Amino acid sequence: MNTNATSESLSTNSTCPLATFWQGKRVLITGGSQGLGRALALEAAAAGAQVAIVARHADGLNAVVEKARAQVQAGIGLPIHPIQADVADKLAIYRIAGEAVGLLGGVDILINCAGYLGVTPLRLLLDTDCEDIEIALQANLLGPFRLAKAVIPGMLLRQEGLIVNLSSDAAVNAYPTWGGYSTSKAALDQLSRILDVEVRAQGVRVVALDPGDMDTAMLRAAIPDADPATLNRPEDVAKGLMRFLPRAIGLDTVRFSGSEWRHLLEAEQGAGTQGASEHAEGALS
Amino acid sequence: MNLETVSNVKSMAFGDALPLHVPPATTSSRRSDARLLVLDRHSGQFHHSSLDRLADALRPGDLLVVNDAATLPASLQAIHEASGAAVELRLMACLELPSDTQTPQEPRGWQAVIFGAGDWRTKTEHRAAPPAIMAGDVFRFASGYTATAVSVRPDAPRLMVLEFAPCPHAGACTLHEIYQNGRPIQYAYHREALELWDHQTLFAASPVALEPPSSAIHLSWGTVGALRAKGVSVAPITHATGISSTGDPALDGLLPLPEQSYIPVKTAELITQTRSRGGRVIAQGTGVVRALEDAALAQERADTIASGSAHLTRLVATGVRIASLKLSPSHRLRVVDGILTGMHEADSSHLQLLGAFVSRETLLRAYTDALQVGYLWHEYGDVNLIL
Repeated sequence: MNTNATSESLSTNSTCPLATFWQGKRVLITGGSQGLGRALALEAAAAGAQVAIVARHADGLNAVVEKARAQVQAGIGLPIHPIQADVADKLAIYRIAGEAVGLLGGVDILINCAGYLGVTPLRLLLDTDCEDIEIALQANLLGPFRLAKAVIPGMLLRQEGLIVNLSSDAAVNAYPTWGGYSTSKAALDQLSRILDVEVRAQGVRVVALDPGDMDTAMLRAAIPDADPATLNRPEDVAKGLMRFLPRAIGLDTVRFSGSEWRHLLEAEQGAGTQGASEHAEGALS
Repeated sequence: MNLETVSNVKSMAFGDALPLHVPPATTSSRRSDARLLVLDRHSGQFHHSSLDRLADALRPGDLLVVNDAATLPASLQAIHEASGAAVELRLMACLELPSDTQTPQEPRGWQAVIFGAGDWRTKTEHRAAPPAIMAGDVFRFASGYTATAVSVRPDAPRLMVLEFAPCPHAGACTLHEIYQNGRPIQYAYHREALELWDHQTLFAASPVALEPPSSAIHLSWGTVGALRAKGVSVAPITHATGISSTGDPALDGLLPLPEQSYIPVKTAELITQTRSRGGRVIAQGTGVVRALEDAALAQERADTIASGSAHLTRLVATGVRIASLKLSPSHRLRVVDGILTGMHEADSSHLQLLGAFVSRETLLRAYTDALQVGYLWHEYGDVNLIL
C-alpha cells in the first residue's frame, strides 16, 4: 500500500521553523543524478543547503547542476556541486569524501541513495550468480559503509551529524527474484542500527528508511509493468523526507518503513505534537 | 613478519646512525597491534605499551588535540610544455593568489616542487633532474587541464608558485583534477603503491594535507572512546601537513615550509581550560605542536595586560593562520605538554622538534631499546608518546 507524502514544498513555507533546518547544512548525496537522490538534492539546495551529489556519469550530474543553477537564477537556493565517482569502488571513497569536504567545508548530512538493483530482468536466487550478489553488496552495503566511515570523523569531532541509508520493503519481506538487492538492503538496515548505537551518544544519528515505491528508472527496471498511478513521485517523497529527517534525529528508531515515517509526519501535522513516535515501535522491525 | 632493515648512512645530530626496522609495504592499513613507547619527559623513564592502551598513559582532565586534515593525492604527473619533458609535480602548500577567481572550493594556487620523469619508486635522491623552468611555463595533465608556473624561486629553481587554470565551466576543476589524477606522495621504502585509502588518518576531514599526519594512522575510534571514558578530551585543529622531503638537500634545508592551520575557538577554549585545571595538552603529531606553539606565540605577542578580568586569557590565537615557527631543542613549549608521534629518522626535522620535549640522550636511549625489541619506524610503524 502506497501512501503519498504531502506535496507542499518546504522552501515556500518559510514560517515553519524546520525550514531553517536545511539552511546552511552541508549535504552529500550519492546517487544524486536520478530518482530520489536527484529530487532530494534539488529540494535541499532550494532550501538553502550546500549540496554535493555523487554519480558515475557526467551527463546526469551536469543536468542536475544545471537545474539547480536555474533555481538559483530564479532566486531560489544554492548551486549543487558535482562529484563524479562510483561509490562501489573502494579506491574512490576518500576522493569522494575529500572533494565533498573541499567543496562544502564539511559534511553534516550524508544520504546514500546510490543503489544497484541487480541484473534485470530480475531472476530467482536459484539463477543468480554469487558475483552478482557481491556487486550488490559492494554498491548497496559496503559503499555506504565506507563513505559513512570517511565522512564520520568530522561529525564525531563536531558531535553532530546525520547519515541516511535507503532501505526497501524488499529488505523485510521475501519477494522471489529480489534476492541480491534484498539481502544487501537487509544487511544495510542492520549495519545502520549497529552504527547508530555506536555513535548516537556522540551526537551522530544513523537512519535507514524505506521511501516506498517510486516512479523511477530503478523501479521500472525491476517491475516494468508497474502501474504509475500506484507509484510515488520521487519529488513528492523528497519533499516529505525534507520534513521527516529533521524530526527523525530526535527519535529512537533507526529503521523506518514507508508507512511508519509517513504516519509520523501526518500525525505530527495533524496533532501538532510528537506523540506519534510510539507508532514507530512495535510495527515492522 | 618480513622486515626490511634500512641503514641510515647520514650522520645525525643525535648520535650514531640507527638501523631502522621499516614495516613491510603491505601493512599500510591500520594495525590494531601498534606498539606505544611511553617516554616520561621529566624523569627520562620509558616503558613499552600498545597504542590501544593509550588511555592508561593519560589522566582524566588531559586533552588530546588531533589534526583533522585529510591527505590529498599531491603527486601529479604532467608534461612541461616548453621542453616536452614528462615531470612529476608535488604540491607542497596551498597558497592564496591575488586572483578574483579563486575560492575555497577552487584552491588554484600552490607552492610546488618539480621532479624529473618518474615517480616514488625511485629514491628521491636518485631521481633524474627536471627541466629548467621559468615563470609562465605551462604544465599539461593527461586530462588536458593545465597549470602555470607563476613564479620560480631564484635560490631554489625547483620550487615554484603553481596556479591551476580557471575552470572552463562553473565547477571545481582543481580539486577534481587533484583527486582524479593525483597519486598520494610516498617514498621508495614502501615497495607497494599506496592508495589514498592508506593515507587517511582516523580524523581525516579537511583535504589540506600533502602528506599524512601519520601519528594517528593506527588510532581507532575504540581507543578514542577509551580516552573519553577516562575523562580525556579530544578536540581538533586542521593543520596542512607539508611534504617531508624534496630530494634536494638544499631544498630540504628549507623544510618545513610555513604551513596553514585552522584553530577553532572551541579547541582554543578547551586548551585554556585544560591547563588552568592542571590537565595536560597532548598534541597528536608534530604538525599540531607546530600549529599550537605558533598560535601561542602569536597570542603572547597580541596579549595586552589583562586588568582584573574574571575571564581566562586565551592561550592560543584562533582562526586560519600560517605556522612558520621552526621548532628546535631551544624552543620553550608554551601550551603543549606532550606529543604522540611516530618513530623518526635520526636527521629529520621531526627529530629536531622532539628536542623541545626531551634531551637527545634520553630519546636515543629509548629509541635504541625500542629498536632492540623490534619497534617499526616511519609512517606506518609504531608510535611514541612523550609526556
